[in-house]
Amino acid sequence: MSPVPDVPAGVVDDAALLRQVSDGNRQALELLYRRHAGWLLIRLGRRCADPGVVDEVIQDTFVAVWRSASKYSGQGEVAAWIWGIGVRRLVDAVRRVPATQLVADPIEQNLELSAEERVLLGVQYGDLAGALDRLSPELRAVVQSTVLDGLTTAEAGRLLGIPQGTVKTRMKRAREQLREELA
Amino acid sequence: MTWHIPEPMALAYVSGEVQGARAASIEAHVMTCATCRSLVGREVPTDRLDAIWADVEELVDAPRPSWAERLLTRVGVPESDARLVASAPSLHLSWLTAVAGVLAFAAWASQNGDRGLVLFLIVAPIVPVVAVAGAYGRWIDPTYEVSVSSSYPTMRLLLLRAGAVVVASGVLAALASLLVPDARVAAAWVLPCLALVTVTLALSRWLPLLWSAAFVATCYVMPLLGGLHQDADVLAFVISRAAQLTALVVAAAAVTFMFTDPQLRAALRRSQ
Repeated sequence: MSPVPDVPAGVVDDAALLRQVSDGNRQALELLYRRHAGWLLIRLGRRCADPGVVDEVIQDTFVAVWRSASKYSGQGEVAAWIWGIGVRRLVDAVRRVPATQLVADPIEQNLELSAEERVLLGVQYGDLAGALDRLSPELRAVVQSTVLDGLTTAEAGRLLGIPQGTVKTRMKRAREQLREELA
Repeated sequence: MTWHIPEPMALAYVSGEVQGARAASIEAHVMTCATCRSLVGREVPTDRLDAIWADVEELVDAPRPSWAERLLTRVGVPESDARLVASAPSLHLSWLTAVAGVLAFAAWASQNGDRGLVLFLIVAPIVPVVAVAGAYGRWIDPTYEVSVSSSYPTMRLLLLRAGAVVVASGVLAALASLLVPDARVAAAWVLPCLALVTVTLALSRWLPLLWSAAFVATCYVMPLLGGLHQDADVLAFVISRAAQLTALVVAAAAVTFMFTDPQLRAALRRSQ
């Protein structure tokens, strides 16, 4: 295994690449693909157990990047923008292939979430990671899709194969449980 | 950012051993750090990424799906159907623009007395018939050879396309009818239109679609024009209850007749 390659200085940044993509530059698209397809594939692969579906979603995502590069606002990380497209394409793909096996991500030990994520959870203090740990897998899956992956309740419901109302109730229950444990 | 994910932890994340809050933390960091993105991403086999890229390139080179195709896919029509339906010539934007122009003219004419109103009643029901004629056929459709040689059932394609173009041109005609000053006239085109479209489709069992549409349109337009020429009260005739009822009966008969066609029943079964 080679040491971690640092991104060389003077390399065109993602936002500039995306501008070139919106001008129809195919090489810029390929460069963007080489930079982002890998981590996106790993991250999506943790949410969908079928590699065929994941490959198709990656492909859809970069075709969408090609077609809608001009819609990138220029604010925020390009990676986050690509993730937003990718995770929504995954939701769509899962809806088309209902038999897809989804990975519910069990929560493990002790790293803290970002401040923003804590506020979203409505939790301020205490052993957050431990508390997340003690959520049931169903509640944790809902917290992950909505808070961490940035999906709406409707999209999370489609991804997890449960009704939107159930997402809301589970989210509410998760919030109550976390608040109790962290009080 | 100077902190980077330690390599063993990145590998454990990729292999799925790291989960929960720690994985969430890695994912949050990866969004903001290009170095760690490439550290995680390079664990994906190159040939897998190459294969996906090849597909991306192919799709990027392919023509963009038309607006009609995207709309159809969005409302849940399967992609293969959507492509075939949307390639109907009379769903192309140029065609629909022409249709809108003709209808706008008819609506404008309807502002000018009885003769104008009759003109609207002649044009509005005919427009969807012409659109159906432009939906499918040897002389009209550049994809005709392909659709004939494919195993796709012709009748099903015809019905799907007819449905799509009738909806599209019908919506335009309905919009135009909002401009018609006389409410009775504004509604009177619907039933004749229904009758003309269904008869056209029913006749297409024996005739090429284009001929069947031309025949039906002629049978509708000629008597009305003749009536106008003789100074008969064509307007009162078309909006009369008897004429409207006749149109309804004709439409019902045409639909019933279509259902006696085994090919059509097979096509409908397939779509369920």
